Formats: sequence, C-alpha cells, structure tokens
Amino acid sequence: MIYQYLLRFTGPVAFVAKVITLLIVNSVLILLTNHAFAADQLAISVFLIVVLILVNYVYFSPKYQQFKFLLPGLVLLAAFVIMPILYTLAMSTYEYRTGNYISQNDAIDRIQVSGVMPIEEGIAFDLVLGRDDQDRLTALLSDSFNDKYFISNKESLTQLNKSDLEFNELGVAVAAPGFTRIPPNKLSEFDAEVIETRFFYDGDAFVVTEGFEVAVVAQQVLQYEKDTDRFVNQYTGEAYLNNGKGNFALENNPETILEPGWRTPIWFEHYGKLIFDERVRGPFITVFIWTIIFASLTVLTTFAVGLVLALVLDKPLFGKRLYRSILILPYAIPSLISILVWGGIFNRDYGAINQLLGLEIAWFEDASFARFAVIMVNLWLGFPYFYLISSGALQAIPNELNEAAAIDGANGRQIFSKITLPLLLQILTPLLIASFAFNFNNFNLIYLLTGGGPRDESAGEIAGATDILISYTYNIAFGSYIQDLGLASAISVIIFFIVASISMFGIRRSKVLEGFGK
Amino acid sequence: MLGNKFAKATAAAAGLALTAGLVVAPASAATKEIVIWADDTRGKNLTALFAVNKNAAPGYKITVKAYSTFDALKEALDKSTAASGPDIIYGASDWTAANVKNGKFAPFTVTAAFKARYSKTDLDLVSRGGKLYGVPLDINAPALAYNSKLVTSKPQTFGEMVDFYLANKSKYDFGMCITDGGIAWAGHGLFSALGGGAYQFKNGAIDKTSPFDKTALTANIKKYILDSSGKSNGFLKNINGGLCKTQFAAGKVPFAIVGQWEISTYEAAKVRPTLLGVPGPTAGTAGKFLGGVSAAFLTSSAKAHGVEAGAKSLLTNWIGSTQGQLKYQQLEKRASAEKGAAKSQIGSWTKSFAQALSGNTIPEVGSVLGNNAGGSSYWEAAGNFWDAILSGKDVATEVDKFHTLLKKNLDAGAKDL
Repeated sequence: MIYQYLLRFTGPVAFVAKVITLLIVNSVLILLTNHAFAADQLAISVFLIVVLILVNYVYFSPKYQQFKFLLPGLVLLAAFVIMPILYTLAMSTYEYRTGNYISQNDAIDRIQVSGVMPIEEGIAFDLVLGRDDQDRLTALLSDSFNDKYFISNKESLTQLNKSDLEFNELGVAVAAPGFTRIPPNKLSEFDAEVIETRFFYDGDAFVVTEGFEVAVVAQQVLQYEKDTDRFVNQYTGEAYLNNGKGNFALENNPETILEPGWRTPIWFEHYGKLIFDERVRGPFITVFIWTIIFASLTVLTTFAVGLVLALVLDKPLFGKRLYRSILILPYAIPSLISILVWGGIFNRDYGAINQLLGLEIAWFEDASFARFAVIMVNLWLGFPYFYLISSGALQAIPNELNEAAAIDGANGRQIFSKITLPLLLQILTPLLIASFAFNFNNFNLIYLLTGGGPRDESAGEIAGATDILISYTYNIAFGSYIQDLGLASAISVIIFFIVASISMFGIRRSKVLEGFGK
Repeated sequence: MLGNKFAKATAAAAGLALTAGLVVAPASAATKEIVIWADDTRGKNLTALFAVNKNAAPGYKITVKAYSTFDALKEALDKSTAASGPDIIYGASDWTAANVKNGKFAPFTVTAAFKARYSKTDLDLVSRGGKLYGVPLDINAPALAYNSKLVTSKPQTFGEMVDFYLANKSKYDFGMCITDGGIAWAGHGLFSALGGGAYQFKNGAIDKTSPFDKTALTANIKKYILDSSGKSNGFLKNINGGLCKTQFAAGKVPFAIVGQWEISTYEAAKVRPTLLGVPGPTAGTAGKFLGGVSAAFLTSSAKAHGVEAGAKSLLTNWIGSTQGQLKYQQLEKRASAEKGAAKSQIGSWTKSFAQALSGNTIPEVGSVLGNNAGGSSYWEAAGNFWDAILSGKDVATEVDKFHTLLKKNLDAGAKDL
C-alpha cells in the first residue's frame, strides 16, 4: 500500500523532497565521517564514505527501485551487526588488555616522550616565547638563580647580557634585542609548534618547554630505531626489543618492559587459553554450564506457567478480563524497574520475603538461593509473554479436534497431552528457541539482580555463581583492574556462534509455522 | 525542469558541497579548548572556579565535563581514545599505574621549586618510572569519628569502643559503620587496626613478605567483632554508606568512619564528631588508612588535540599553584596537598582530619590494590571478606583465603611498582 503510494509520488515536488532528504542524510554522514577521521577511525570513515556514495548513487539513479527500499536496512545491518562482529572477531586475535591498549605507533610516540629525561644537573628556566628576526620560534630563558640569560632557537643558544634585557616584577627577562614576544593570550595559536620544538642547548642536550612558563634542559635517553624496531638507551646502550607480544622488552631481562605496550596480533592464543589455561577454562566451563541451565529453566518455567494460565483463562470465567489485565502487568512494567524492585524484595535485612515469612535467608550470598532467586525473577518477567502467545496459539487450534477426540472417548488430560500440547509445541517451538537464545544473553537480569554473584572474591574466584557467559565476559572486559578485552572478545565470538546456531535452528523450525498456515 | 540527469547530478553535487561546507567550516574555525573531566561534585566546583578565573589559561577556553559518579568518570576514561579523551582529568592517585600502562596519561616535568611545595609521598603517588603525571590536589583519606554527645571520652583501644557499644547495645542500632568510600577503601583503617591490611609499609616501602599477620587478625576478629558463638556481636555493620551517614548523624550509631567532604551533613544535624585514627588492640596503636591523593592528570589527548602546552601551563602554573589550590579548595573544602595552600586553609574540621590521620595512613599503591593476580583485587574482595565474617563463616578459613589472595596480588603488584 505504502509502496504503491510512494511509486505514484513523482514529479518536481517529489524530487525536491528527495533532494532535501538527501541533503539532511548527507549532512549527517559527512559530519560523522569528519568526526571519524578526527578520531583516527579510518575503517569507520571509509565505511561512511562508501555509504555516502551508495546513498547518492542509488537514490539519484532511476535503475535501482527495489534497492532504494533495501539500502537503509542493509546499511544498518552492516553498521550495527556485521561490523561489530568482524571487529570482535578481529580483536579476539589480539593482545588487547590493560597495558596493551593503543596502537604500536602511538606506543612508540609515548615511549619517545617518556624517554626524554631532564639532565642530571636539573637545569630549569623561566620561559618567555617569541620570534626572532628570522621569524623562528625562539625561547628567552631566564636562570634567575644563577643570574644567566639565554636566547635559543632550534639551531643555536646565545647567552645574553643582563643589561640588554627588560624584566618583569618576578625578575624574568621578557624583552631582548631582536626578540619579539608572543603575547600570552596568543600563545595558544602556537601550542603544537611549541610542543614539537626542541630548542638548542648543548650537544645532545636540548631545551624543552613544560607549558609556556617553564623550560628544562633534557636529553633523549630512549631512542627508537626504526630499522631494527627497538629502543636503545643512548647512555647505557641497553636495547629494548619488540617481543612480539606488544611490548619492548629489555634484551637481557625480558620481564623488564617499556610502557605503554600496544595491541598486537597473537592469533588464536585466547581461544587456546579457554581450553588449556586452567585459570580461564575452569570458570568458563562452570559459567557455560550454568548459562545453559539458566536459559533452559527460564524457558521451561515461563512457558509452563504461561501455558497453565492461558489454559485456565481459555475457559469461561467470571472476571476473565480483569485477570488477563493483571497477568500482563509484569510485562508492562519496564524490566529494569522490576529487577531492581525484586532485588529489594530478596534483600536479607529488609526484603519483603524474609520479613513476611520470618526468614533470615541471605538470598544473594548463597549460590543455590541466588540461582533460585534469579530463576524466580525471570519467571515473573517472562511468564506474561508466554501467557500471551499461548493464549493466541490456543485460539488457533480448531475446536473441532477437541470435540472429535471427546466423542471418541478421550478425557481432558488425554486431549491436552495428545492434541493441544503437540499442536501448541508445533506452533511455539520457534518462539521457545528464540526465548532460549534471548535468555542465553540476558545480561540485564544478572547484572542488575546479583551482579553475577555470589562470588567468593576473597578466595580469588573470577566467576560468580549466577554469572552467565555474557556477564562473565563483561567482567573480564571491564570489571577489574586488568581489563582483558582480547579474551572477552574471544568469549563473545563463542557466544555469537552458540546463539547464531540456536537462531539458525529456530529459523529452520519456523518453517513449521508456514506449514501450519497452509 | 529538474527531470534531466544533468540537473539531478548538479543538485546532488550542490547538496554535497553545501553540506560539506556547512559541516567542515565551523570545525576548522574552532578556538583552542582545554577539556577537563571530573566527577559530579568536582565538576560543579571546577565549572564555578573557571567561570570566575578566566585567565587561568589565557587564549584557551576551558570546558569542564562532569560525570555523574566517580565510577562513571573512570569508565569514560577507560573507554576514551586519544582523540575523544579529556586533556586534563581529575582522578585518584591509584589510577596512575593503569593509565600510564595504557598510554592515557602523559608525563610532564616540574621545577624543583614546584616539587618543594608538595610532599614527596604525594608526588610519588602520581609518578611512575620517575616521571610525574599529575598535580596532587587534596589528601584523600577518611578518619574514624565518634559522636561526642554519645561517647564522652576518647577511646584508647579498639576494645573500649566495643565495650562501650556492648554496654549500651539497646540504645544503638550497631556500633560502627562506614559513611562513604566503602569497606575496602575507607574500611582499611579498621581492617588494619585489627591486624589486617592489603599490605604493610616498613621503612617507607612496601613489605613484600606478607600482607598481614593471619594469627593476629583471626584472634582480633574473634575477640572484637564476633560473640562467643562465632556470630557478629553487632558492633560492626557493613551497610550502605548513605544509610550509615544518616544513622550516625541521627545519633543511632556512636562510631563511624567518615570522609572529609561530609562536614556539611554533620553540621546540619548538629552532630559533634571527634576525629581520630582507628585505635588498635593496645593503647597507642592505630590502624592505617589508605592515604591517596586526588590529582589533576595530564592526558595524551592534550597532544592529540593540540593543547598540550596550554594544558601543562594550566596544571603547573595555575592548578598546582598555591593560589589556584586555595581557590579550588575554598569550593571543594578538602585538605590541600599543596603546602602553601594547606597552611592557609582554615577550619577546625580540616585541621582535625590532619591530626587524626597523622601517622595513621599508608600510601595507596594502585598496582597492588588493583592487582588481581590471585583472581580478584583487594578492592573487589574486601567486601566479600567482611560479609563472610559478619555472616558467621569460619574466621580462620576466611582469613586464610583472603591472605592467600592478597599475597598473590602483592607478589604480582610489587613487581609492577
């Protein structure tokens, strides 16, 4: 209908509307490209440029009618599904953790900066910046303590006569012959130039600025040698070699490394850790098993309760509408709020459950109780969904089948088990599979209700009793001092393949639905 | 008229050119801006501070971005890149190691005169590998307070506090809690008073042999925190900090570990808290709080943004100056780390804090406290340890587990000093 209408929307007005729409789209895309370039995100920039070209080509060309409708979906699919998957896949093959966070070029740059050390004498100057007669950036340096004054540029250092200088109230030289001071409020325009400039001092020593007011005499102690990809201490001769793990390590003592390190490919090492490293493998297997149990129990319980309620309310009943409305309430309340409220209800000290039942159960401090609480809360959140779809599915089962079975002498239980339930399962199996896949990754519930705990952290436990794979992955990636994004990516890839397999299975099963429709 | 291909292409090209011009032109004309990130409290104060001190960095616009919580600020920093990060960030000294490793903090050099205005310990907390990465702002440590309307004499030992509570148990909800900072950080003084500790300091350096004496800690917990049946005697409660603050201000708890920044709460409640270190089992001994400093760090983003020189100037010439610190602390109301500003600060609360903490802190060493070589860091595990103790689990077992964990973390963290 809309497609037909859009096909008829032609002519100059439609064209102007199209140009305006594309103008807005182009503006947004160019803005995003601009920001991506500024943030050194080359891949994202290229993607945005490709999208920009495609959008304009497709919408200004009369050839690709169908593609005009597909393009937005395809672009979003590529941007928010395919690219993150590829990025995660790529990162899972990298050493990408605290200490190995930035690119190698950035790391080399940072080490070079850290490798500049003040000379032993610790000479510092009050600094005034300006330009000389040849318009070179020039530093007017005051060593008030020793009553010495210099002027320096990249090439030379000249000592000045005090009598030739003008001073401010602090005794800092502010004017000298052939020197034009840059006004303080204009210095910001030369920020990058000031930082990059090494003013001449003596031999290997040079003057570097530390802000606009102070300069120190320093030396480049650690120097990067590009040809051999190593850092060398210019004074001791010690060499720091690229260890292939994202760090420059001291040649004779590889445990001594330079900071920072960088992200570097280590290929399938993270996947190997999941199999061979007991510290990683043990918690991973425990969490994996619990994730399967959690998702299965959730689907089973929510489906069972939803179905029972649907069956009960499928019969004529006084106040049926009211009951239905009440049953849908948990579904209507945002799950975030429900989970936090349940967190309070299960609180040991002031929670409603303990107070009403006169108990003192520490629900979230014992593994079994916490798991029970998680399943119960998810049952509360999930049963209305299955109640709704079961109610709908019950309506779709022809009543004649039940009547025929009853005439043949089947009782209610037999009708349910032999007719209603098989037909319902045929209809609902794809949804049950989808629900399993959803709960497999139900991060919100675990994170907000138990935080993955209880976890005996004082015994060094990494995974909590209610941690599922996704919350466990989050903890590895962001939850502690050492953030291991590479390992977390590897686990994410495994989760992706599990969920993708389940989803594929669900999609195949969904053909049953089509068959039922026929 | 617009139906032919040429017109369409022209329109498209014009549209692109126009949008490109609109978008790109303002960016190239942007003024130099130094971006500072801070948590909500500091952010508000910094915004007010730089609104009236416009010459703090001449030629630069200073923009303060405040994050709702300290954790949110840290998370934002963790996820930032050189391009998206701040130029200066107001954080904690224990952030130094991780952010130097990640290349997020940038070093700068200060003069001997600048260094002389700060304690070496404070500068060491924001240094790594002999390089300075931040300007210390204020001393960050809690202290024990007792409500002097309820407790008439200063307790000399831990036992006196417990005895006082047990003798008046019916009047109080419990004996001691922590108002802010959590049981890991703020509770370290308590942990240490009982013989524990994430690490010990000996002769000005971390003792790498053992984090604490297991026997002493086990015995003291049994004696002071638990009753004869091994359950909590009610003295210590690990509750939500806000709730503790309310209870302490309401006179329902006689002892609390409090933060410097809470004075207004107690003034409003007309409570007279008296500050001290957490007394140990014998008179004259006291637990060691983790003493960190808050600091303004230079980041590597400043170079990426082309404002590194301006940011360094702002840090060393204004933020780190006596005047800059004084103006900031007039708003922040914490004990300044800068000696000149600290001398000029008035207020009995700040002075009492300084007295209470004198000799009762150990430096907060991020690479040990945050190390998780044993599986969890001290920060993550301390709450769990205390929960286990207070819920009646076997003390010796819990102490042993915690010691094993902290020893592993200490061994790994000490290599990273």
